[in-house]
Amino acid sequence: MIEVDSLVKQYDELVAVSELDLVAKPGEVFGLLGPNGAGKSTTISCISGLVAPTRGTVRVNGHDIQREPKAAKTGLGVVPQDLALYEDLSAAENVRFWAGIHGLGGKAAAERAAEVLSAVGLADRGSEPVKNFSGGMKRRLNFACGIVHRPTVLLLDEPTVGVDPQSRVHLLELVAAQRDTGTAVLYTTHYMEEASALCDRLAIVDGGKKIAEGDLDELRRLVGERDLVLLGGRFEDERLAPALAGLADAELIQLSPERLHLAVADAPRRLAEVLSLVSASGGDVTETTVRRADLESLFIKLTGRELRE
Amino acid sequence: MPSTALFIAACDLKYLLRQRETLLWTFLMPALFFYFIGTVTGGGAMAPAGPSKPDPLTLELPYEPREDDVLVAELARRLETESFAVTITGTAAESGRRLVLPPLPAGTASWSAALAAGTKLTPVYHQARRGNSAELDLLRVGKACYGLLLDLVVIELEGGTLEAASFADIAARPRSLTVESESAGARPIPPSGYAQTIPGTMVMFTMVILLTGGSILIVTERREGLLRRLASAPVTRGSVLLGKWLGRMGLAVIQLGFSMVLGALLFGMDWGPQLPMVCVLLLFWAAFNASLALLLANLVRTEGQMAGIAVISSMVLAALGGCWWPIEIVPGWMQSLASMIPTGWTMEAMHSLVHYGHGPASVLPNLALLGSGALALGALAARTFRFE
Repeated sequence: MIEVDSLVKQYDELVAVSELDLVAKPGEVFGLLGPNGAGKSTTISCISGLVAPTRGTVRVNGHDIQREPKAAKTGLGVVPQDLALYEDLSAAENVRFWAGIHGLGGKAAAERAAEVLSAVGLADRGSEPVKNFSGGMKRRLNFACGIVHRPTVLLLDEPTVGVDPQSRVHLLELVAAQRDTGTAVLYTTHYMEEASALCDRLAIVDGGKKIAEGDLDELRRLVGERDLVLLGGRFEDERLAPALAGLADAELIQLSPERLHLAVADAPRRLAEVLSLVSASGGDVTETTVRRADLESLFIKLTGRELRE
Repeated sequence: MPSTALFIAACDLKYLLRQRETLLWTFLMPALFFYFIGTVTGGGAMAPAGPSKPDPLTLELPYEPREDDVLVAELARRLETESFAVTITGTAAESGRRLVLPPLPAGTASWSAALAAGTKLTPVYHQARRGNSAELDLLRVGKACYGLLLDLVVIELEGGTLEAASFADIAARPRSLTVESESAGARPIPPSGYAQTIPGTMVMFTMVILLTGGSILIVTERREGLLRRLASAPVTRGSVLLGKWLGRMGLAVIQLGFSMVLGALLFGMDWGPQLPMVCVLLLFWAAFNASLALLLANLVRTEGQMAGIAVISSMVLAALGGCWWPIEIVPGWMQSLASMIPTGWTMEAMHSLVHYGHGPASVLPNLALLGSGALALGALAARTFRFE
């Protein structure tokens, strides 16, 4: 179980994480969703004990990571965003190394290494040097190294970055399998579809702050029934804003000289109405996107920005 | 903590020994350096100082040795005075130092008889070696031969006979010219050839290997997030540091041990009677470099920076510290400089123990300097160590 309480991490003037609270329970995948620079990796670093928080506490399985690091880290598995692998060693040697670091040695380590390599689909490639592996294979091996010691808490920092679709599906299945064994999983990502498919509960973070938390249904309800209309082009703030205020069952989320984001009920049918209003207000639309209510819509609604910006 | 540290050390050592560069600089390059540089700077390892052992020399006769061969006995005695261990034989020797007497004229049984009959004797000296020590051997053989010739001239002039008593009589006479000499102290003869090259190359390569392979592995581990991942494991910072340090110590011990054995077996390097202290000294040197490797790995950002620093610092310190040439032959200011750098401390102690035959106490200050340096650098490395 992970318990993060009022976590703050500050680097000089930069506040990387601000007053973050979260709890990841055994047998659940808790998603930390946010764009690059949102503070996800810093949060993972604080939870794994790599970085000392400026304020706040982190407990892993009831142990404070700063005060009782060894007890806290014993049940902790980390799958970092970096491919933290020894390229000149074989896959099995890499897994055995991390097993040894967690106190697993000899035959037990070899057997467990074979088991996790089989689980990640690398059983027949165990003796090959990692440098010969594809990106997807390395990602899977990275995952294997993180679970070799049967952690009860697993931190996954964007584990699917840069992998092929097949490996991504495989990795998501592996994460789900870990959850099913009772492991508490904290999963950071900026892929909406992964978060939707995998996470039992989610926190959306931006600029180091948690801006929403809940399960998928709760978060969807935050979006409401409105769809998102994202327009690109040239817009005149002074004329357009008053005009949009009169648009029924709609909410202005963002208006800049180049962008207009609106939450509009039943947007596909009312798009013509919106475009004509914009045109009448001197706007010039060059790009139009309609998004149905989903997590990304929620992120845009909450931050005014797209997740991958 | 110790078991985790040992595990990390073993894994690091195993990994380092798989790198081609490490294998090249640990096992192949020392052999090449020993051979080429050692050979061009004089070859055979000089014997350590102290009570010198007589050099073997074969006095090769064209007949089987005889009891009544006064000339040969006298020549052998004079050669032994010149610190040769003389073996008189009637069969041709294959190699080594040989003083060969030519075939006898017909009808004579020995060179004593042939010389008494007026036959001219021209002994020929053979040796395979070259260099300063070979020149010295030739001088000593010449001294024995010319001394014998002068006594033969005196015996001839005085109408004496060629017998042992005649030589004894001449030796007992007061000399009209006497040169009195007394020791002005031991003159240190700097080591040359393999005696200089093997310890110098070993010392230099320890630094090269640990500062390149040893440090670069840590820089790579940091860049690729391996240290970061290690930080999330239930391993203390102290265990990681100790493991990294021990891994590099292990590599240095393998490199130094291999070089010592190679030097002794292939190049005849005599490590002298202070071998245990030589090993202690080299362990201190390894410890110094293991600490330095950890510290530098914390201060650089990239593998390229580390390689550049490693090569430049190793070469400069090796040259200034007396690894490339004996520090005794360089100007005074360079000798002073060598006394302030770790390669200088190590090479001075190596020469003291191995070449000059001094006792273990003579190198205690050097050990203190290396040990303090290793501790200070280790403390700095621990302070600056970072997982990311």
